[in-house]
Amino acid sequence: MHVGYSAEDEAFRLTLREWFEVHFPRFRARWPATPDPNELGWRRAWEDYVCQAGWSGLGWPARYGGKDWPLTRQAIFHEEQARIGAPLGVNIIGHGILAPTLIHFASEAQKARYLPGILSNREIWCQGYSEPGAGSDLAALSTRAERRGDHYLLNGHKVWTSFAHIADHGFVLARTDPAAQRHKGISFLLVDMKSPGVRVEPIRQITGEADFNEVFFEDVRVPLDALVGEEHGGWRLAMAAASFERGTYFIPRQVRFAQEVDALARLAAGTPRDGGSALQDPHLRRDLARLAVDSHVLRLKGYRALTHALRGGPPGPEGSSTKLHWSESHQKLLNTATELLGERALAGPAPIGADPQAAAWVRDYLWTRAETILAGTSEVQRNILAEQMLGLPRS
Amino acid sequence: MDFALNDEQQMLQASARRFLADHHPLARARRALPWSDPAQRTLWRGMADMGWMALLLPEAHGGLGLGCTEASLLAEEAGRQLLNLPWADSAVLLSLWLAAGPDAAPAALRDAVQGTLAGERALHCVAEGDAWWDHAGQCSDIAVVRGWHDPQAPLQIALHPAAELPAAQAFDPTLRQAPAVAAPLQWHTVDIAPAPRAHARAAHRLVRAAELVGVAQAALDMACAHARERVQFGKPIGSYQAIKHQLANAWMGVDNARLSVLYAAAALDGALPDARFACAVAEYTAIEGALQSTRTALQVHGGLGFTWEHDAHLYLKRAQHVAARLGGASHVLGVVETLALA
Repeated sequence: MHVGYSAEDEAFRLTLREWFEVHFPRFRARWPATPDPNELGWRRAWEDYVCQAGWSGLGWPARYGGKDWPLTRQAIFHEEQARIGAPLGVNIIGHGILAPTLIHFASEAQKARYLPGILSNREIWCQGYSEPGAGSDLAALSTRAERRGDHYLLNGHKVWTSFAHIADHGFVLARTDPAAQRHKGISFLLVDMKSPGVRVEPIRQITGEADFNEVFFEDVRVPLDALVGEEHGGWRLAMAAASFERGTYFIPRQVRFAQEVDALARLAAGTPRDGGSALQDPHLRRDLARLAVDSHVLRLKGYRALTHALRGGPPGPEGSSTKLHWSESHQKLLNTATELLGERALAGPAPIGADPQAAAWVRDYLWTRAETILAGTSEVQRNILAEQMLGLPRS
Repeated sequence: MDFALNDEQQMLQASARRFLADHHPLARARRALPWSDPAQRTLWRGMADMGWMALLLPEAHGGLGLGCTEASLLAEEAGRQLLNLPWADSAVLLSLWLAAGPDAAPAALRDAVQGTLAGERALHCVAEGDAWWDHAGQCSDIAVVRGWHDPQAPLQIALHPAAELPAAQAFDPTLRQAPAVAAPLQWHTVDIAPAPRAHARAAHRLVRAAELVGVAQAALDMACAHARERVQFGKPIGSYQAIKHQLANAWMGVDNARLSVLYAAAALDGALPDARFACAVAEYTAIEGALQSTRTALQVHGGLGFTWEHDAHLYLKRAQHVAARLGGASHVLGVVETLALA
């Protein structure tokens, strides 16, 4: 039992902090006064800046150009990057999910082909999993990859594909053996998004933005050497891929949550109410206290996830528990903010307007509605907890 | 970073779980045996032989020199079995007061802790002004405390032998409590510095929160076992999401509470700067988690859970009892609020 980081790690944190404190303002100065924090160009530019400065492949082995940092240092990096207010990147799927999957499962030729593009952030990745008929029940997917001599012929329809419209490549789960049982006939393919027959259609969301896409594959030729791992063995890879980030995935979200609780208290202090400020409202104060509890608990869940990953045991309940708690607490936070804004919220989420501060809260409020749906709905997470932690029978 | 129990702590936890499951099963908790029953005294001495009374005392004073982390592990196991002996008061609060100033301590306190270490006396602490003395029938002495919750007032204790008190089973039927006695008391001043005094109070509240985690976990385990076995409409009721999701929510509540207690214990042991806030969160999540879990357990058992014979109500009532003694969820959330919005 030891909570916290060693003196060496804290010293390491200070060098990172110094770098972020010099470079993030320097980077920011090239952009308009108030960049839209969600705009992909801005997000990508920062991610490029960080990667080109050499802060990339943090946990990869050195022979692939990585820094081979222990997990603790990776965690500190993510904490410090979030602390400075830097945006999340656009190649998070490439860095966080695909790269470790390739390092574990791909051929040396595949690693040599794809890892450098991720390391430099030159090549952006998307993940083709969900389909119109396969959401929570992912193994029901029906995208087909038929083997035709030196290639697979890919046909299907993916949906909710983040970053597909800017991605160079996607990793796709496709059915290579339609006769096999659900999980058994699926393969993990790397697809060039510029291939003939790939069509990307943006999905406009309730925020008005289009972060997600539908992706249509119509007779797309995928070379045989784009198969990762064994043919029909893709399900196992997909499950492993989802576990690589378990020690660090929620760190930026948890740091941001704590910042947002503080920002909400400031918003309340700046909102006039009955001759004083809304921060004197006892109901709101209780809401803020509960959010402070949620923020603390999320930090502890983060420590647990990091500890489990460091100790190297099999993934436990931490993924579902953290995801559920974070997404639902985050909704409460933004519900409270929106109520507090009152009429100011009614101008909507567009960042260009008379009240960009209110617009940012409203945009985030709307966005949080997705957080209990994507990456495993709250209902699926509760089923996972009930079945895996409590031993209850499958529905 | 290693936010998990180490090997020694896991061994302590496992041995406590075994010992209490063997010696204090729920059927025994339900009988609410009085201190005069030899079985209670044997159990108390057994706990002393395990070293549990000496846990927090420094090694120089014959103790084990362990910390709040270990104490909260024991308390969690005690909660799981609805232990009805005043371990938290004797082995945490009184011991930490003695440890804070062993030379200046009044003889009454020294003798009380010595008696506890020997497994001969079991002291239960009540605040002056409490209307009810919990455990009055399940301890050797009541220690009435003046200034317990008021750091400005001097800290004083007065001992009252428990044998003659008219104790009876209470809202929590595993406990025997008595109305407070109005007789004049002989007060002894415990002169300790503000910091160790605040630490002792916080540690005692934390082990009560840990006890709630154990109660919550036991209720949840019982409800899940029932949901796996009870068949309606041709399937175990635990396969229905209406049941499953309630239990998953209860699990989340217990998980939040256990993590918060674990961290708060480490924060007290390591004197971390956020220890006060961490303790307030631990108390809040433990109360919320225990009430949610024990209420859910009753609901999942259906009509069975509403019967006196079933154990579901024992967990609910213990959770409610400890929550009330901690001041209730709203009170501790108020402390969180004060610290968070300072």
